Amino acid sequence: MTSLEQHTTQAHSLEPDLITISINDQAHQVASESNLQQIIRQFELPEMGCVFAINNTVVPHSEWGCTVLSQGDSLSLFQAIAGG
Amino acid sequence: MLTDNQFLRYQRQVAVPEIAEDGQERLSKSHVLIIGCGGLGSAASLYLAAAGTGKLVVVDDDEVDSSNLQRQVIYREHDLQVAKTEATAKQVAQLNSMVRVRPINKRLDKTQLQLEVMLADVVLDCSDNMPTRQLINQVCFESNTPLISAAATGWQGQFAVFDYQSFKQSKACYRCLYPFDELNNDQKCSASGVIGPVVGMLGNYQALAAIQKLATGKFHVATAKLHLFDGLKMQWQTMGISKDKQCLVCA
Repeated sequence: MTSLEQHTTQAHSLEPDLITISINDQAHQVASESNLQQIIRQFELPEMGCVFAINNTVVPHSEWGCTVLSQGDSLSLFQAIAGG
Repeated sequence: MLTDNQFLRYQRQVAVPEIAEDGQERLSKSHVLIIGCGGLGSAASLYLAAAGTGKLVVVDDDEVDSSNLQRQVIYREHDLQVAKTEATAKQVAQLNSMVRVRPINKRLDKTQLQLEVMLADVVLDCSDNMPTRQLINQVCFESNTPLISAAATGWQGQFAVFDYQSFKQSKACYRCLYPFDELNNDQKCSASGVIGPVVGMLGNYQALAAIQKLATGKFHVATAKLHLFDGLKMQWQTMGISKDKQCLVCA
């Protein structure tokens, strides 16, 4: 049994379930009920000048902490640019 | 009524049903404020002048440098060290003498910007830094003036239209999308690479959106959406922008 499967098994009994989301088209497992701010911290994603979108809709910065990801969600991040 | 000269000159544009003679006449009475005369402003001002826009006001505080010529296609080698706004005004006048162009060779403070935005039918943000972009957004929002925003770096482009004339409260503003006043240094145009046709495409998108609004009376492109261009894959992607309930500008 891999450590991930162990973790998943335990999760079924005691901890929250894991869900699968994609971050810039790469699949990742995260605890269910994770909010965007927690995911940014967990994966050490850059924040400065960065924009995060879930299923192609940008999440306002003030709502990162209260936006909960769901199974299958597609998270994309990109840098703001200002060059002209 | 279009003059015979106008009709002959703009016939291929007038022949487009959504434009027609009425649209051409509306365009010829329109006033566009273009802030920034770099790669975006170069493309946008040339196309808007060629299309017969009534009046262009072009703002920049910089001079033409040899490193600009790779992408800022309005300038010629003999324009080096000339103020960009003066060189732009000269090229526009040579391209289309029916277009009035007023160069402003300085950075506008908020009061001056408010006045210029008030006089304009649409504003093109062709600037190269975040503080200027935030100020332009705030002033456009406060004066209900449509904002056509674009930016480019490397192979990437970003484009968004905020129609503050028609949606005001219901949709997101530029600051809802980008709630910050500074970016990392490596994202500024002056410090990083940029491909000429990428910034040119984004400037042309701005001109295209302006022609939609000015000639047909409305934007046909989806507004308050972020359009992302990838110049390597040559693909566009569209993102929705949610209104930020804590936005410093529109909340």
